[in-house]
Amino acid sequence: VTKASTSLKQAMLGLIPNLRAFAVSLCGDMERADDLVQETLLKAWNHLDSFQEGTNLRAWLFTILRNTYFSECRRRRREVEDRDGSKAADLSVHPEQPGHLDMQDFRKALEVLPPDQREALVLVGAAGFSYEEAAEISGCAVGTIKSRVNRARSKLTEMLSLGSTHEFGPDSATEAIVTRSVGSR
Amino acid sequence: MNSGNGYWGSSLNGPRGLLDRTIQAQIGRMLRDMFSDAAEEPVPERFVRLLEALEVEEKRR
Repeated sequence: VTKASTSLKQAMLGLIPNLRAFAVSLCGDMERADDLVQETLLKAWNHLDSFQEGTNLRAWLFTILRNTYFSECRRRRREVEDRDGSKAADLSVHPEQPGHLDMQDFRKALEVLPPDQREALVLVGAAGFSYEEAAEISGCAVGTIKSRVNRARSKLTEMLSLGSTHEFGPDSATEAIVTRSVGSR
Repeated sequence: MNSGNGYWGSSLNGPRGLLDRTIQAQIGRMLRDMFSDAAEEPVPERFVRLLEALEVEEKRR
């Protein structure tokens, strides 16, 4: 074992919490997330020679993890026909308290997003990567990442917003939220 | 870190826009909380063992 690979091992170990957070944000299931992390570590270890010393190890590992996740998604999609948009049918999440989102509502809404949009949002909005880094990790153009992030944000807002009152809620609820949020500034 | 809400776009005016901005600020916060909560979990033993096993295997080569 070279000294370099030992210190890489240390660095990889240190990045596991980050990888688990990324994986669970992508797939919404801790058990599956840990399987993704395990596969990522194995692949990374077996391809250490393709890691360029001095480049961003975190981004490299995230890339391996997301590639693993997306090829798994494609495989699953082939195996199980998308259950005729059963997810899409339940597109709106109705927060129990107007104007207050709890983490459960949020996770539920996040899971309904298309995987590529969820990925972009998580990379940029949660993991703190720049648009450029996120584009590199996802293997697409910066503009694509930006538009995915924007679409993800507006979809989430729509799902989590009681503001679409014409669909499901009295106007007074909206007003109460608006008034409250103004008051709290 | 991409913090702040400047990236939410500028078309969010009026009462509906204000509501959206409030929701979007919450979304940003929850995204970060979700991630950092998960990242604070201790590393499961299986991963420590996995990396050790990989290292042992490599030494044998």
